[in-house]
Amino acid sequence: MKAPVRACCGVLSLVASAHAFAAPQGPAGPDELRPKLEAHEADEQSLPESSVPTPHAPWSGQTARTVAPGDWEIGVFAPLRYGLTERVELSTHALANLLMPNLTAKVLWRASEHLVLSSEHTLAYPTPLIETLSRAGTGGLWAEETVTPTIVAFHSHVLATWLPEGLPRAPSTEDRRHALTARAGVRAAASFGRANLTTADLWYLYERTAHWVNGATLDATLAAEGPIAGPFDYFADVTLFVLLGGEYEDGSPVWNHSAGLAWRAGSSVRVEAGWWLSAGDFPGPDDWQLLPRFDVAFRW
Amino acid sequence: MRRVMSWRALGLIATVASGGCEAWDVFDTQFEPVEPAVMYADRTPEPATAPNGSLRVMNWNVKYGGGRLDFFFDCHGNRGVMKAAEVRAHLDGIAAKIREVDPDVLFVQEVDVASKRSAYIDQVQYLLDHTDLNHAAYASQWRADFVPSDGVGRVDSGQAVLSRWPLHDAKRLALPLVGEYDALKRYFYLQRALLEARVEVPGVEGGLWTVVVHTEAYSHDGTKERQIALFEQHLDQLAAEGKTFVAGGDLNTLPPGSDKVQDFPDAVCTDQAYRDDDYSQEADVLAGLYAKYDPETPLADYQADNAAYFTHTVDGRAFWNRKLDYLFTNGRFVPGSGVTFQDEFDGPGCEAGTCLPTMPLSDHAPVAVDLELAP
Repeated sequence: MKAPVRACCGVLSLVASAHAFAAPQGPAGPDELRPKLEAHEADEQSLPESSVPTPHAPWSGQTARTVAPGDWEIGVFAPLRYGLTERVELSTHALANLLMPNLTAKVLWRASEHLVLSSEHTLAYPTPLIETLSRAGTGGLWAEETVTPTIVAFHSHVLATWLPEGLPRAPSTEDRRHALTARAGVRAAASFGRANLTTADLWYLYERTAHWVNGATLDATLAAEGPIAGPFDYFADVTLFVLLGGEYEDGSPVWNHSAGLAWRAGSSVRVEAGWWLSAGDFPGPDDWQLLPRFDVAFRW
Repeated sequence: MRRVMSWRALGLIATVASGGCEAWDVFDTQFEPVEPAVMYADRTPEPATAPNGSLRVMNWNVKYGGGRLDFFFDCHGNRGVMKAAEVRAHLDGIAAKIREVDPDVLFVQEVDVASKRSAYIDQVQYLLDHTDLNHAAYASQWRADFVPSDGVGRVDSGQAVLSRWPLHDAKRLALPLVGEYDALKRYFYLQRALLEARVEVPGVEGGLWTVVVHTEAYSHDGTKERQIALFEQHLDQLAAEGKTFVAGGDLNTLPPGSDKVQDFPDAVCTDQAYRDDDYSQEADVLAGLYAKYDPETPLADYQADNAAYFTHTVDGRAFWNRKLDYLFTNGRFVPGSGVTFQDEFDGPGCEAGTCLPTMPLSDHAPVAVDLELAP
């Protein structure tokens, strides 16, 4: 019963402490970041070349880096991101909030010449979404008979990004460099009340929502990105989900892989196209599916 | 006008989406016109001796191990997904009844092999492992990675033939789809088929051919009649080739000369698309099969007392009220051997009511009959 409360307060206190940590009058952060905090008060264009690296990056979805304070990003499928402080990026799947309130905080912990460490914490309330989609007829992803519990879902991941060329010395919308990111953590959920909820047994949804029913899923990702030529970048990642508990799962692995090209159409638009593969131990026979991946993202 | 436009736009989107789904078959719902059947073997096979003058064939629509739970599409309840324990309990009852009847060849319809609604239990394998039957061939007629409607989710359900003896040449032959549905519904909807297989019966030259069918329940555009006509044509072809067959299944229509042909009391769906209780336009659709082939229940017997041979009701609190399930052969059934297992009194040795009742096990009653083998 207490788990979600602890998790909720944990996320909020984490954000609050990180926010205070980043404020000029707050407790000192890592030495290499402190000059950057002062520098950011000036106009980005007039920033002098700093002797310390900046941990910020445009299009920060797959890295431990965060968007710069005050910057916004959104994609058709990617979440809305906002740089709250030097150390905290907030994000949310904006449209999903209509039925599933959700908030993610990425907290930057350490940035050195080649390495950035951060953590990411999500709090979501999927109960209204499940209740809406538990219906007769088309669009009923769950059976009408479904009794949905009150579910509080929380994810916590640590991220480490290694940049062989090192971090840039100043934030730039043109920042494009190779990066290798490892991400690992847990998706957990606490349920309250009587329920007969089942998993959503469709690739992509299944591995990302099974913890609503089963309690917990571990996942680990390895992602790479960087420039190829001209305005084109590459991206590739592989994720292992290990689903714990449940009626059909017993630590069953599900793999996701995606890769493709990103076109930076100017400094504020990014178009992604590629493929997405899901394979593994789904309920019933093992299965796999290959689908196109596409997104258009904007920043300002 | 705006509403009309928006509905047109939605229709266009649905058409494009379904076209994309069909072209790529993202949800794996499509079948080839002819496909090999999926073959099974008992994990602990029982010895199978040669038949002694006859063999017993049984047919049963087993309602995917749903017993008498009231599922949403029957409009008696809102169940959509079962727990594994519920499915196993129903399958144990079905397997016990099969062991009691002791068929040599079994036809089953609505048998799930990988469906969310039945807890992903492979029911063909389960029945093989819990009966004296050793081999099976399965043909799906409803398969989708995910049906985004009514919480159906993943489904793989169809028909199977199970046998004491090995099966060969098993294949799935597609039947026409329901034409009245829009493209999106058709993409995710059931795709009916014939399952054909040859049983290697010891001592029977050429073996015994079997054909299992489960025709459409809800069409109003003549699809069911076309499917039954193709079933009949296929049997005619087997007969013309000199092959001995037993064929049958759930034909979803009544025998000729049925006293009651519409307004059955258990049909409570208000949506006309899912009403299946008006057979008044199908009076003679089985006449050809009865005329050419030997049925498990002689037509004269049925016409003399319809109720004794009823095999279906969706209301588990009532009793069987129509006959939908059949067996036919171009050989000869042992006269008087046909049994409709309506309750605990039906079947050899059951006169004292000592046999397993079937009403709790499915919304269909099984039928069985003995096939004479040529000396």
